[in-house]
Amino acid sequence: MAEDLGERCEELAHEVLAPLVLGGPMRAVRPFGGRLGLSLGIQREIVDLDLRSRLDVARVRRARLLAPIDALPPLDEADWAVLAAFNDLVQLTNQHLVTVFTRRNYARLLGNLRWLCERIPAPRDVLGAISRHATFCRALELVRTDSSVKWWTGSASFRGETPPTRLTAWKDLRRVEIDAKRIPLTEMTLGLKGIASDDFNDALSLWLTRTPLTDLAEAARRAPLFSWSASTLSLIATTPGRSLAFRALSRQPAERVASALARANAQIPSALDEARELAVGFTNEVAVGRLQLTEQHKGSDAEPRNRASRR
Amino acid sequence: MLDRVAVHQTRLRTPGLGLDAKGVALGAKGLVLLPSIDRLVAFLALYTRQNSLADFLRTLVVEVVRSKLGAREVTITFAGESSDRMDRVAEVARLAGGYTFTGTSRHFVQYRDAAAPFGYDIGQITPSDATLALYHNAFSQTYDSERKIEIRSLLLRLEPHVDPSTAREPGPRWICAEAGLGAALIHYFVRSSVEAEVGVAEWPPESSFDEGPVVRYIFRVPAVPDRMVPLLSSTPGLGVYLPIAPGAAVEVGYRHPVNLRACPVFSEAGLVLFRGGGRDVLELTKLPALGDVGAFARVELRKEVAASRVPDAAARPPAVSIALRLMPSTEPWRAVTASWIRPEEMPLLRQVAYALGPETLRKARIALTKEGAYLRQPSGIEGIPVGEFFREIRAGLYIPAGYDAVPTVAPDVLYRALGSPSGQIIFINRDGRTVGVPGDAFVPLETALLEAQEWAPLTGLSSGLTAALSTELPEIFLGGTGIRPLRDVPAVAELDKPAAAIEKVS
Repeated sequence: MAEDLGERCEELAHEVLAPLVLGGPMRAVRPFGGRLGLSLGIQREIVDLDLRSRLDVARVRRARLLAPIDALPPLDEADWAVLAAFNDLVQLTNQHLVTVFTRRNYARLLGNLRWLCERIPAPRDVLGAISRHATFCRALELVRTDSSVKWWTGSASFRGETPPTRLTAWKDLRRVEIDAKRIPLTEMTLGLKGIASDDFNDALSLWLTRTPLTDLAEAARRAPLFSWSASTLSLIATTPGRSLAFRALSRQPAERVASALARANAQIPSALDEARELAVGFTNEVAVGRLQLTEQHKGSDAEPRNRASRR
Repeated sequence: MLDRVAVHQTRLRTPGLGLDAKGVALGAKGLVLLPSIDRLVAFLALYTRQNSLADFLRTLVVEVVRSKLGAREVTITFAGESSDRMDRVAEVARLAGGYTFTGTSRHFVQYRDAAAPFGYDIGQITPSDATLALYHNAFSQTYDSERKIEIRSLLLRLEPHVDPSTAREPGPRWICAEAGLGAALIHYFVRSSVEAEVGVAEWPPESSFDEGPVVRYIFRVPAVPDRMVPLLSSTPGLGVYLPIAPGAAVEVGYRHPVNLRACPVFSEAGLVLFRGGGRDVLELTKLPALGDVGAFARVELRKEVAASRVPDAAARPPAVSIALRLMPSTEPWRAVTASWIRPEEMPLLRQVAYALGPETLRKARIALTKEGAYLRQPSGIEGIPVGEFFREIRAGLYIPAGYDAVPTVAPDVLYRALGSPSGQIIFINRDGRTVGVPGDAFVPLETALLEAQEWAPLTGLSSGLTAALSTELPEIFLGGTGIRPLRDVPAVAELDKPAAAIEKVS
């Protein structure tokens, strides 16, 4: 069983983690479920040294966009659990997961995913937060290509699958037309029977809370809407975490960030005064910081022009 | 079979084909299909006899294309701006045995001819992945691009034709002398009082067995006396070249198959010497420093110098030398090829630069100095109506337009009086002040305009990400999950039970 789990971990690293960090084609592996997801990464590391070093380089490059660090800790068991949860999340968009007799598979996997996400510990410190962000920050960049193939006597559509060559052969003779569309992660369950898009987005939102810096960095997203969680609040409660969050947010459009944070602030229950105060304080800091950045950019823009006019 | 475009027809089926003001079907590009390279040369030779390639040289692309059957042909693609240009090209192409097409991206349809004065349209597009699809009344063919042909390299490879009549053409000459003949020729010119400039050029050694670079003397002679022509053109090791275009000259007695004046592909800062008789072209990327051959005149030192002593009380003879003055002239302006733009007029130049055509921007040269900018345009500076105009009275010597230098000495005398400075362009201002601008300081106006641009880095919202991580997007591919895909996934109700209890049950 242990060997089998090791193989599955390696498969997960190659098929899911590597494309997530380095880009490229991703093929989700068999779902792990809640219990296996939690125990998957205990004393586990990637066996393929080449892949491990390439992942480390890419993760450090990501992290250096936010902080001047040269090394990141390897994936710990919580990171593996987040990865397994992400694999299960992606499997929720797979139409091959259910058949006529297994219509409840989506609900079962969704329940496991929620259970798992609720039990994955938040990052222990700011380094852990940035390490996890460096691993999973591209999650919302994941896309799927849906193809629609038309030929002179019929048509067929494919979700995340390459159309078979028999349908695309003899393009000229059969007048084959292929229309490919890119679907973002948040819209991957649209049109899928057995799982509601809202349920999927709730699960995605819950998964994002496990990597709080990513959650904050993508606060301006359209769906699922950003809301404060215990992990994001505890991140901005520390000064370094607050700086990192500001740097991550400063890459997003200012208006959308402001409106997302204001909406999230309003959703904090009135009973949690301390949390609300913390969130509002951070929102104000972000607004002031963005204003200063804008003025600084204006100054740097005006300087060459002055130089040119003097010339 | 193509459809003829009718009068007042508004819709065309060919992608990228439209109707111009005359109602002629015209795409953004023109294309000439020629069967072979020698036909291409014939086309260039015919076209450049009466027209210049300068108008569309920037958009000109010559490619060898290959049909599905493997036949190789040559295409010339260019911007088909107007039907007038296309008509000229089509006439020449017909003469050279080629076909003319028009289109925009991939599909090109036959250009108009006598049978269809408004052009042709395609009945049905050939679906194909080929890079080029040509539709002609006689054939429809698709082609894939094989390789490009650079016009410049093609011109360099063409062998000049024998043409003895070029020896009789008047004007300046370039003379290229092998290293051993250079010094003798210099002294020959000095003894014969022939005005000439000389420089030494070096070429890399032809093989690794050569000891050093190949050295040759380059002479620029404004006019070769007739008596010297037979000697210069028949002596082995000497070559006389007739300047054909800026930066290009062809050996006397030969003519390049293509009119090089109509193909401005050679840099004015360098020199390309086309040699006849199957010899290689001599190419200089930058002209060597040229100096007057008079500087090599024989020098004899006297043993003693008899210094005359001027008596203190004696009256000095009146000096003959007088100051140079500029007087307004009533003669019509000629050779107005430079201007001086004062610093306060520079904003005006910047504004005018927006209205200048590409040809003017490319040919005009500018030198920026502390006293403003000096502009030179060999074909006339009137096109840039800024600053004070100057006319060139001798190579490298300018006086204000509308003025004459008094005393009316010959320009060469005036130039010598100024010390014949090598590599300097001399401007005599209206107030009599003379300034010299280094020839190297003149750069194409378009380059100077671009270099003067200031830019400021802006922090893009995603610039850091894109710059640091140009990795491809993660893309999910879905597939089958096998038998019992959820065998590791327990039911939700069993999740909170202890693991041991579950194992026992199972």
